[in-house]
Amino acid sequence: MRVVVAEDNMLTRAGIVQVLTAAGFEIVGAAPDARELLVLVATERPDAAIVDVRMPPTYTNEGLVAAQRILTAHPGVAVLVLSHYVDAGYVLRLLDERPDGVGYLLKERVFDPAILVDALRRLSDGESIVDPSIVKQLMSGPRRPPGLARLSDREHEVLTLIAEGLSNKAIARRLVIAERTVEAHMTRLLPKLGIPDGPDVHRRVLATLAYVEGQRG
Amino acid sequence: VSAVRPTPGGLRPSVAWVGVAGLALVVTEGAAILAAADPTPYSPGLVGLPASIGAAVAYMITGGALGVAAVARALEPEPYGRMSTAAATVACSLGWSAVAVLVWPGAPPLVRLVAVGVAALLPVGLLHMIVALRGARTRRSLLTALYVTLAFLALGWSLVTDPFRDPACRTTCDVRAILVVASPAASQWLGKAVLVGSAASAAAAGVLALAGAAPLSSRTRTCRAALGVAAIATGIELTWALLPDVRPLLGPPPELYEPLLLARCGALSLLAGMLVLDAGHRARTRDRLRKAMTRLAAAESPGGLREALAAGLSDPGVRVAYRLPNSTSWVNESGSTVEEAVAATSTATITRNGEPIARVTLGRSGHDPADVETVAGAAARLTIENERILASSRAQLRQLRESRQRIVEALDAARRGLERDLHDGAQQRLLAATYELRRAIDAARDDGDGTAAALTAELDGVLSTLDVLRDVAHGAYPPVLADSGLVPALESLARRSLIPLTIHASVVRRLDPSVELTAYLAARMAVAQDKPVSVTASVTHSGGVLSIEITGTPTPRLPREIVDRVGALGGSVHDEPHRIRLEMPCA
Repeated sequence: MRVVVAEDNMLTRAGIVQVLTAAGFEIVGAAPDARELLVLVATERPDAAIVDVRMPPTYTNEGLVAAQRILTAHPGVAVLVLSHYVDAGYVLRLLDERPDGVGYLLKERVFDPAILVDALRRLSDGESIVDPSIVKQLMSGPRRPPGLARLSDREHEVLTLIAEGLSNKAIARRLVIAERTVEAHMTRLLPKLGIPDGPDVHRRVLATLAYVEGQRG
Repeated sequence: VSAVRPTPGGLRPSVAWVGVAGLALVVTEGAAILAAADPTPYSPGLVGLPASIGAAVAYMITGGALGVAAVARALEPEPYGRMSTAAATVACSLGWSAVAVLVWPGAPPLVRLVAVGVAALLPVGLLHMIVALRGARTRRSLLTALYVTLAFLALGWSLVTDPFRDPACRTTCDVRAILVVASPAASQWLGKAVLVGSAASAAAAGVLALAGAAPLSSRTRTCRAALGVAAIATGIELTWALLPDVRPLLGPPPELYEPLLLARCGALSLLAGMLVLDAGHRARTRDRLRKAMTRLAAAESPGGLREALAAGLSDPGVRVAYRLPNSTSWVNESGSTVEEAVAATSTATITRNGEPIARVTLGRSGHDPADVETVAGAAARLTIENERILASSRAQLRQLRESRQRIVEALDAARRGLERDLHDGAQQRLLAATYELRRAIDAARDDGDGTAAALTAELDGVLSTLDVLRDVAHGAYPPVLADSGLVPALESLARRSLIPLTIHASVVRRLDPSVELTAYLAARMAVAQDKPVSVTASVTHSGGVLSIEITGTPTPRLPREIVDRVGALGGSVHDEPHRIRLEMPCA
């Protein structure tokens, strides 16, 4: 799998490259800023791009803007955004742009090879990934949707994992239960929230996040 | 002759000049009448001899006009530090009238001797006139030296010129007994010197009239007209001085004599007329100004000095600046600092005890700043002093406000800097540490020794430190506020807050960072409580004002820090139970 990395901090960039190389990924380019990243994506046509939110020249949200541009301009390129911020607003902006093949992870997770490798694999399969801390922030908000209260603990766990972008199979693995049990939970909990059930994993993520988000404002 | 020195900005006309001008008027007309009435044939040979009745009448009219102008100018209050047009007019008038004394055979020899000297003053008088009308900065002593030099050269010429070499003397020598030493060489030399001196004065006057230092816009229209006529009169005088054949010695006058004499009369009469018109115009301006100042002092008209001056001068573009006490900076009536360098000629400076306290800059030409100085200085000094104090307290208030605002901005910059430093420094280093720890854990697992568990615990510690740092950095300056603005930041706040926060917002574009942060901090304060309430924040931005209204929060009032921030940004706080409203100006 061919990957492009954009990160202004040299150590972090080298660390990511090393983790991915060790895991057998092909690094086709590493950029220190958003401008070079866009050039690399256009010329190398990678399978995935890993993008830091805060990069030169203004060190605010160049990476996020570049990620949005890749999402719209290159449908075949999966985008994994790395950040120090726990803010669902950024994630929702990315999902708005393109609901599949996009992920948002806190930076400290990427040095865990298992998480990074798993994330890239799932992204290239068209799934979406949302950092658990963000899902937690959304699910534990003050005005929890009334439907959430009717969920059992296990159903709540399953919903959180749906929101993180996991497939039924992955949820089953994570919770150490049978996939059919997950499906059973799903058929019970989605109607409780008013979300139509369906096979489309990323649609479910989006629907879940939109549902949680829609309870405010 | 020295004038009574006008008081700075005073209204007192020069009494001495009025006397001298009156004297010149009487002498001119009297001598001319006496000379005309004298049965003795006129002495030719001297500078100006009326040939016909017409020329004689023209000469008398001109002398009268110059005398009247001299009185009018002497009655004009002359501003401190400017060349006196009164003195120049008196010099011209005396120079002109002395000729009548010269040609009056009945005059005593000593009087005629003085008249020779005085007659030489006319060219210097014209130079003086042009210097004064232009407002050029020339030393008084230079002009005085010129006057004295020319007068004494003429006197010397008179004393050494043998009247018997003058054909005219054959008929009138008995009355010209002023010869001391007959010296044809000295006579010729001194005669030339008088001519050259007169010509040089006239030429210098012409040059000054064309290329003076002061801009003409600071002069009244009549003053500019007088200047033009003075330049023409100077040209005619130059011709008169340089053409030797225009003055008759004996017998019928040369062909050019009478036209040139009439031209001199015409130009000088016109100049006198312009000077009188200008004096009248300026007197009217001063009168209007004085009335406006009286209304201002009686507080009958709205507005301050600037409005009163604008009405009095019919000049809406007039600007007033006040000098701050114990400072060299100038401020306008609302206390804003104005530029130090202003063209001095279109500006009237009002002084007190020799110190400038206010400055009036005229918006259009046609008025003489000197009139503003005289009238406003005298009639409204108290009002000006009051307005100056007001302007200076406004300036202080403005400085205070600006410095408060700068303090808030500096504080915000520091908060932002802290967030950046944490992000780029501490967070990156801890991130690098997690990388190293994970590698170490992998190595320890491979080796199978017991350190893996300890290292994992260490990694968890570092990760939770990262969480803490993230909160600290976010508290210092929320990144989403910096990169996306107030509304996304409030929405983010709503997602992370423990109590429900509803946002109603219509703001889309970015605002002043300190205003954004203040509104954000107020909302964050409102949700930072453990009471089971729900809070609504409504944000509107219209008419250059950002308003945020927070409802639902219980009684605790806004912290002083936020109230002070709003005040420093020029805004206001309405703090009621369950309802807080902040309004901050922002473009």
